[in-house]
Amino acid sequence: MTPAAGDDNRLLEVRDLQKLFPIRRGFLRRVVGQVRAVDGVTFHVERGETLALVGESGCGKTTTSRCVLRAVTPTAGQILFRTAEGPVLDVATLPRRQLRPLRRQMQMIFQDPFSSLNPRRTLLDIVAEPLVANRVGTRAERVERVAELLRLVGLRPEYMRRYPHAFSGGQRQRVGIARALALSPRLVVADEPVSALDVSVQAQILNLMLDLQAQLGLTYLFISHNLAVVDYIADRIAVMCAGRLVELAPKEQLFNKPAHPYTRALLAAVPQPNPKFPLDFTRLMEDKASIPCRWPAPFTIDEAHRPSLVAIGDGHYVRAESGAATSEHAS
Amino acid sequence: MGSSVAGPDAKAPPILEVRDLRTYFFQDEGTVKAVDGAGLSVYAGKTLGIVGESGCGKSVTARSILRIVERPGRVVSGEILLREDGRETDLARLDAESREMRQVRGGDIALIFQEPMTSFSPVHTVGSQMIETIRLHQALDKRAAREKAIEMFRLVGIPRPERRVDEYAFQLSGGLRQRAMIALALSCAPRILIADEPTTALDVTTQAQILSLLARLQQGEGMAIILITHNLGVVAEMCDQVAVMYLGRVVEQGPVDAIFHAPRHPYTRALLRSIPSIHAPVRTRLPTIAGSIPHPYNRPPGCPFHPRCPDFMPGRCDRAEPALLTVAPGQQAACFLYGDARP
Repeated sequence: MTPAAGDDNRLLEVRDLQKLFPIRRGFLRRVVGQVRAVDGVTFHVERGETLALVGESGCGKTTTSRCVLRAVTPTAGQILFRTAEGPVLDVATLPRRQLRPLRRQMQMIFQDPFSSLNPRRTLLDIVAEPLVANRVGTRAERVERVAELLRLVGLRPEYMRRYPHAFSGGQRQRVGIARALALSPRLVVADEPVSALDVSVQAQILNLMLDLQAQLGLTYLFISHNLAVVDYIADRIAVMCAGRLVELAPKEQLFNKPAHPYTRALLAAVPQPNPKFPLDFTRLMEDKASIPCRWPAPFTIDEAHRPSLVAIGDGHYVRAESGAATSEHAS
Repeated sequence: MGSSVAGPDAKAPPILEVRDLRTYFFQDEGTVKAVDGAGLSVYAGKTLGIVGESGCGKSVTARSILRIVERPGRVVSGEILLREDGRETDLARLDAESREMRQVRGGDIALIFQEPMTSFSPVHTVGSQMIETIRLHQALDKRAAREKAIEMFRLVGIPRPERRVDEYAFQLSGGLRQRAMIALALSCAPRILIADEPTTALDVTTQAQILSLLARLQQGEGMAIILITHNLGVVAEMCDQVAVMYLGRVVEQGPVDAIFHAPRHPYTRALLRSIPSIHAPVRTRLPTIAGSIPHPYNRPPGCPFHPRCPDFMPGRCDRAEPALLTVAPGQQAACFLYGDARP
């Protein structure tokens, strides 16, 4: 998993990321323990690709993305980002002042299109806000740019004087995407961008994201709990559980040859929209799939066992004690 | 509208039959026709799935059956027939506050809500809420009701139930809370369980466990389930019959295999095509449904789906509303593609 240092196709490289949150108790709010929200997460994102982080609620996928954007400061680890100007910077440790120009290059698409748009601002204000904050262009140029962005995401530029309440969930999510693209970012972090949308609208937004990627060469870090959505949009998938990245592989590889017991459990639990593929309930009921210390060897994670990510070929990595055992699990 | 499907067992009449139900919300800005002529049939021991997107009226239908529609909403017309041993009660005619209706709620028909967090009182233990419900419907003293609550917790697979009953809802995880909700709903042995998006707030592995639990309980008790969801995977997994709703109407209904493998209504077809699946061949572009669900104040005239429909026939679909027509054995669709239903 050690990167080739000079590989400039890697836009983002996260190494051994760790984020601990203190647990405070009592009158003095003393720290009595720590939650390992993210522990030992390592992955990279190549330019122009979509890497998906999947996992169940509380697995650390959102915290990981927030660390990448430095919305929270990681406890340990490196987040190497290749800037447009050339040099690779470590987002994890960069001082605040130097972060600001970097933020223009990373933008975010939020989950809830209802709460992520200010109801008292017009679409023009909302989409132009990143431009205003970064003092880009004159007012006339900004209006021009907003019109162009709205057209890009499939909305009519005439709508820019209207307020968000006039739009449906899918249209609002398009506005959120236009805002994220306003500064032509190199990396777009999308945290559950379609999970609040209706099924018939979800497909429209996913197709839009794919079109924009092809058109503008965007790079996505896509966070989702929905494996079917991820299967549609991602090139590579990283599965997280209990703060750890347990498996990372190209999409086909992950779906056809899942190596980690947690990935298998996750895939087995997705009900198919086809009555001919029923779930295996008896297996699902006995499973304690999301408890790392119950995973069988060589995957067990507890006090005595701290497996790391092992390469098992074809860009496929799995968290296991290194040894012969992993390769047979992969086959 | 509103005629019943020929059920899986045509001899036994449905234990619950909804005919031409209309529930409107009278607001200052206008009237929202949340349910506008829906018909459903529920059979003992079977699961009916109600599928649809937001605003299609699936939750309001469920609330209408239990007569817990909040103001300014009101059941305007239609019949909600609950049958037991040859007796037939029209719930639509009962006073929502009446003693009879209160006996139906929780007694004959129980409801599981989507949000297990907000459906429990935060200031009472889950046990005390269950004991209250049990004593409301059954003549048991406090101790016996508590025993019953613990037994129900054990039945739904909550570990160490004798300790969990004394905990508050916030002390339970999402999955446990939903189990507690199911235990509460089942505590009075209802004949019909309405589950309104019971797994939407849960993780997939937890969802699978809850679905499995429901299936097992149904087998044991012979209970009918109305499963309301937008997740077609869950429908395929659980249901015998499916009703697809769009803007307050049932646009198609039939056996689960027919709905998934031979859908007739253009909306059902489009909906099925537009969902990503992990068993899809390779990345082919997802077909989408153009446009979005109309705002309830601007209901399109004619067939409610016509502005988004790929098979739109000008002059026909935008003029009149199609009625449900039998298109295959046990399967009905409301679409002019299958002829004109006007007598």
